[in-house]
Amino acid sequence: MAPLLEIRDLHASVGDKPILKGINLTINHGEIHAIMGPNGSGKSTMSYVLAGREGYEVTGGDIVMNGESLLEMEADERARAGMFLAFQYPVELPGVGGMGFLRAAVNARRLEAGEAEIDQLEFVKMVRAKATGLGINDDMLKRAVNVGFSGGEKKRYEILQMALLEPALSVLDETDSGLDVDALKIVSDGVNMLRDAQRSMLVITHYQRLLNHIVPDFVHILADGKIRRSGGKELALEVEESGYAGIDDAA
Amino acid sequence: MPGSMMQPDLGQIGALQGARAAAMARWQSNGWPDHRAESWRFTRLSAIDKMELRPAGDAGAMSVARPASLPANAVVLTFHNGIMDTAGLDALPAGVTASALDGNEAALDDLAGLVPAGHPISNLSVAAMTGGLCLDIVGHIAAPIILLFGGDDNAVSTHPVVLVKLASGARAVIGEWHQAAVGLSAPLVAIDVAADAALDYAKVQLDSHSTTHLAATGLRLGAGARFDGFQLSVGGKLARLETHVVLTGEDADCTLSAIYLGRNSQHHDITSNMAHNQGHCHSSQIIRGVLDDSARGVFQGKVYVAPDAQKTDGNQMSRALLLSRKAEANTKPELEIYADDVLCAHGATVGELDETQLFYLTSRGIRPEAARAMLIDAFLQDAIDGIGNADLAAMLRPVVDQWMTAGGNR
Amino acid sequence: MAATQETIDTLQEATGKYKYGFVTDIESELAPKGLNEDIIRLISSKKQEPQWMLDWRLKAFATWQKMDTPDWAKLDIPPIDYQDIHYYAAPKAMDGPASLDEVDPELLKTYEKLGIPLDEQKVLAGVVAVDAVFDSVSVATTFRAELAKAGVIFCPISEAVRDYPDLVRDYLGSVVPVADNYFSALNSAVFSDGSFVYIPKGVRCPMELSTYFRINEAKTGQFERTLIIAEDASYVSYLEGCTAPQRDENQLHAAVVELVALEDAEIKYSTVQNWYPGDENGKGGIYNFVTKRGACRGDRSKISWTQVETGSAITWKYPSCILQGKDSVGEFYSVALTNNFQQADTGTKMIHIGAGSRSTIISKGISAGKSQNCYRGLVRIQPGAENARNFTQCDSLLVGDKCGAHTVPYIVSRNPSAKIEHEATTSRISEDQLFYCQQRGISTEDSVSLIVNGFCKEVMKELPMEFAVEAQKLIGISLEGSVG
Repeated sequence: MAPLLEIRDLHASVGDKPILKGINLTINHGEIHAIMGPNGSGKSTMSYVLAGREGYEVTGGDIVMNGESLLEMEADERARAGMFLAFQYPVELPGVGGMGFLRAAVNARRLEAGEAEIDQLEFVKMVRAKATGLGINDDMLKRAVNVGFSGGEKKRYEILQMALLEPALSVLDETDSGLDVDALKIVSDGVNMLRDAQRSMLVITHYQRLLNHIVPDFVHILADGKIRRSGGKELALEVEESGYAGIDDAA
Repeated sequence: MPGSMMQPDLGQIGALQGARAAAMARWQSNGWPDHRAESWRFTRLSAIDKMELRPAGDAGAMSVARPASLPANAVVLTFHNGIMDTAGLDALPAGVTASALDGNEAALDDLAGLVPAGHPISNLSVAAMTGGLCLDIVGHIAAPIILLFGGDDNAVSTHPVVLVKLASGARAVIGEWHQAAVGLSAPLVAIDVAADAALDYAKVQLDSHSTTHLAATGLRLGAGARFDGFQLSVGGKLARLETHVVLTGEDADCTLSAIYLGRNSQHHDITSNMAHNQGHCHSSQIIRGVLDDSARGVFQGKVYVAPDAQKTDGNQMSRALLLSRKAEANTKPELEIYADDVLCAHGATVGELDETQLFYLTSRGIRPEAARAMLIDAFLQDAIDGIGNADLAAMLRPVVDQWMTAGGNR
Repeated sequence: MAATQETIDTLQEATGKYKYGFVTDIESELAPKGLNEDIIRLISSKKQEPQWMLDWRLKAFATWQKMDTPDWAKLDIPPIDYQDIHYYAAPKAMDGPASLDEVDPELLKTYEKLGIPLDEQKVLAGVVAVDAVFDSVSVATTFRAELAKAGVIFCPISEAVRDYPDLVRDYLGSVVPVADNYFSALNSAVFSDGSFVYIPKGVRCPMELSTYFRINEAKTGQFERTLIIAEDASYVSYLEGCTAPQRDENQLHAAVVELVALEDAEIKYSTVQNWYPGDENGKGGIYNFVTKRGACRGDRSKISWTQVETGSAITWKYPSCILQGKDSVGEFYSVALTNNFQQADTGTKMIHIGAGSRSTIISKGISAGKSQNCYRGLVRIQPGAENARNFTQCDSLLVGDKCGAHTVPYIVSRNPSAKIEHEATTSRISEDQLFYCQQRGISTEDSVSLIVNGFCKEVMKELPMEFAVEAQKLIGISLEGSVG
């Protein structure tokens, strides 16, 4: 089977500043890859470039998902094609009701796939079922998107969306930041429940601790816009012990 | 100013007497506001004196289509070209007494004490009154009373004048719906809410895109009175909705929120003056404006707190959203405070749709146009949520939705 | 009544007693009262001005005669008889001394009493250079030699007209046009002295510059003119202080200040305005009608205005920024305190022209007694000001129930990518706050100081150290060593 995602010699800039300087990465169906790296290495930029955020300009290379280049696709088109980004800082949408938002997202995908819009009652049942497992109560679902949520609640809400949208590839951008141990466990359990042979994940993190909970198949070290080392999950432990120092020279 | 700018042509009006003659004299000496007048700095009436206008002389064929979203149980009073169809009066429920304003000097005096002093329409529309209605309300009136303003003669100006008086303890729901295609639509409305009375009120301004809509509304609240009001300005070439509120008794509570939606080269102006003349009153205003194409929006809102009006709570929040490079927003919130134990605040923002929010929505697979519509809708929602009366909220909502659809949600 | 009498008294204590109300007994040379072309010629000849300067003044005078006093401010200004004012007053034999030794000892004593040392020996080396303006003339400018080494020009503007005519001609009136308003036209016709500052390219001015304005003579007006030019990538911090004797009559002060910041330049302009405010019955006091404006002409340039306004019977003043340069920055930090019968209508204008320009406005108004205090501000976003940003916070504090606090912001946005946020609140010192402090053993006076101090903190921290101390004293606040 063709790989799910191929990143080929990807170069990207923010403004005039080159951030990604030639990334190569292949993710097959069902694999979990972790990207680790020091602050400023380009981790968050990579997540935004994959999701197609404006202002993050690809200056070279290609991103291919299921055999199709994503570069000409807008953010919403990529999302409907199966790309999901769990934000590091989920944005508040005052006045945008949570249920309406979730349904709009689910329906956008269904219509694209030629399916009918989801029945409203069925949808509410489905959301509730998935929310309960993530410790998201009805009150949270009724509120405007992310408004008044704690840091942990926002992250759980991201995972709920991931569960509802059933993406082929989930990019988790520093999902562990701002979470205490208990919240981290709830979020990780939520993510692990979604693991199967078809779905893949790209877990971006600064610290190894998240990878104790979401165990990756491969670990890549990103520094100064390039993947400097790749290995198995043991590489994360190595970094935990010796830090990122010296990584730059390893390439 | 006087004479040369004395439009519309009032020559056809016969000899006036009493309060109307006095209003005519004031109009003739003041005319339209000078371009230097502070309260008209963002809304210039320079084009208005070039308009060929005359107060409508007859109603023409009386037919004003009833808007679909009016509450089912509403009692509708129709004005065509500014002239009231008296047939509608028969349907008024018990507790509501209708009478003519013209010739009723006592009622005209009451009116003069309520309407915005110094506003050109306060004089012009009394002098040139095309239809004058006084409603006296006692007890609890369940059915909404809707004043429906239509008209199809581009060459006329309409000057409907309405005085509403709620007796102590009365309750009513009143709406104004404007869908006229006249030259100048100049409604003058005065509302007196006596002690412990309560009025839910909404105005929909959907005049044609060639109409100049200049409305002056005066409102007085007695002790313990409640006014829950909302204005939605969508139509008109130039529309200014100016409301002056005076809170004259303790524990009065006034909500006066508004939405303006501008497109093409429309000019919308929402101006308010909230006077806390007595302490222990509460006022709240939520203003939202959405401006597309080369539309211009103006919000001016003054909150005044008189000396000794302690324990005043006055709040105001205005936000404008610019959807196009050529749109322009002008905002002037104002606090004038002469008492120290008060909680008064205003806030104002102007900006475009938030890129981060748009990205968040599109990253979930929602199409950009749908995402924009969701955010605009959310932007307007908290203003609409504030409407206490469900019938009135349901009356307004489709107008907003239609505006959004008509624009293709760019 | 909401505020306790004690609270009010404490504030009066802090502000009601004017400590700089003495008169210096010095022989003065006065122009005859009144304003006409001859008086302007007299001022010009006293200053030994070139012909172009005189022509400029006469043209301004002609313009002024055709103008009206502005009436849009929330001020009750009694009619002013412009013919009943001396437009020139100078200590005798004071046409600019060559050195401090030549300065009349009486004048040096005056400045010492005001806390402004003009004797360089007595100042810690390199702290503040002072230009002292006494009525219509600059009596001393310190540290000039020191500054000259860095290439910085700091001198009376009358001297600059003679010595640096090209610079003055290029910039004078380029930020505040003569006909900008009634008082700017008047000032352009009759300005007597003020400071001129020129910071060359790439120079960070080695010390704070300051001007100390003093009105001494009765029946005189002061019309100073200040021009500051910061060349590319230069920096200067400039301080300004003002006092006047206690008199029953009203005196006029109509200044014009122009700032020009070129590419990457930064000008920080701080004012502690403590003109005589009049007595507790509203008698006397200075009418302070000032036009201050800075042009951020260069990309990434920055102009920051900080003002603490406690004096004057009437204040009409809107230090503004024209943000022309790309990514230029304008700031306005203001504390305005009015008491007794004082009236203040003050604020700022931020005109965004350049893309990426940013502005911040923090205004704190404190009204006490029977005073009226109004913030008036304009934020204007021009179509080309892509991604411009403004944040405005206006807070009013009322002390007592006989005063007024007003907020009149104007917002005009003509670019959708611009983001403007404005917030305003009005509050008072609550009995709960006072009680809480008192319950912790703090005296009423100190409690009020503490609370007012907290209210003003965001602005006070913008003041240079030297001025912060004076400002704190003025507002009756002990900052307890936390400033800096």
